[in-house]
Amino acid sequence: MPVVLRAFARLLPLALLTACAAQSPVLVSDPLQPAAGGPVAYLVGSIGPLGRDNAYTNQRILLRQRGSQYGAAAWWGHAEVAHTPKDIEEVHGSNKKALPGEASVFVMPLKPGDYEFYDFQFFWSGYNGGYRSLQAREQFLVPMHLEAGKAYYMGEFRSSCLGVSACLFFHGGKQTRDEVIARRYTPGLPPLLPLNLNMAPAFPFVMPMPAADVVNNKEPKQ
Amino acid sequence: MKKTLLLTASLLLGGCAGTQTLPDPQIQVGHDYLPPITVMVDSLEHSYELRNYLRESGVFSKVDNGAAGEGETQVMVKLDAQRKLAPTPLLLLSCATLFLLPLQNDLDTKAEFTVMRDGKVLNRYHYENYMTKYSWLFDLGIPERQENIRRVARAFARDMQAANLANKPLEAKQ
Repeated sequence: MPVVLRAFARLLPLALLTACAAQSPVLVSDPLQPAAGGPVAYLVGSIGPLGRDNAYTNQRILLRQRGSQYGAAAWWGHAEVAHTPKDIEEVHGSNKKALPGEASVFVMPLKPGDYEFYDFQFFWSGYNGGYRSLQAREQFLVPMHLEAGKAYYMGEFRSSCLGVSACLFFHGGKQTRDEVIARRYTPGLPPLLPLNLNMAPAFPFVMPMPAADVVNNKEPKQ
Repeated sequence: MKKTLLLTASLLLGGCAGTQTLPDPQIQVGHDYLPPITVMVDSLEHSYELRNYLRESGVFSKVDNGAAGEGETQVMVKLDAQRKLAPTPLLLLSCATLFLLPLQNDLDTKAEFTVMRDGKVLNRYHYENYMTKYSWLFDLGIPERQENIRRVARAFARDMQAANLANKPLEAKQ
């Protein structure tokens, strides 16, 4: 019995510490994971809420291999269940007093081939003990072709919500910023190629980042 | 006693797997997308589900809802998906056992796809998929019901891919 108690006492802090650690913002189903030493293509981007509205909740963009049910997702989460790294924290828009939005940079290793960005999900918990989720009833199709040995920049996906029944992602490009963070996670990452995805089929769930999107954060003075 | 328990457990866990009469259609990969189609389904319950499975097939570049414009391919779908549940006395009996008694929960789907362009019929496709399923407390049979509709959608996508109808010039049938 003392052995069990001792083991428990040792494991408990370890378990608590690992539960506090940020989780990877990438989920890839087994059949899409590249084999060790096999060909691999990388998808890079960032995801997270633009501000502190109802979009400040767990969210995913969903991808699948063309013609199959095998999927992958890039996600952002905060403390409710599990959280992803707070790689980006900035205020968008002119209100300098607004609470900053957050985002995680993802580097998604995949088997090369044809993929589709087809849906998104938002999850809320804690509303009177209830649980809510939101995704597109009619999915969309944004195709992409990924070649072995290449890394592609998918863009930044920054969410915004009006209540919990109307959410969307603003899609923009901050390749220079995201690439620096991505290389920190995956040092041997090949040069990033912009994917230039046509997001028109994903309208109105994905819209271009507003032109007035001027980040008011000044770079910290050295 | 142990054997009886094991048999009962394995029956409950594995014996209730659903069966579909339509084999999973094999769609060829590596082909270009077919041109967009606009799909109108006469079933409110399954319309978006069917269109999503058509999108998932990877055959069409775009699957829209509603009415197609001039020169575009319109698909009208008559979808008849009938659920067959156990009779009420059995349902009550299952309730009394806290749904540990498996219940019949079948889904029979008949679908007729009419492919049209500019008001002219190009082709018709008919599919039937009968699902047999016994569901109980821990297995409500939802994935099997989704698979039933998914196979019908994939069968149509496979046949459209084979015929490559959307690329062919109009050949109206009587």
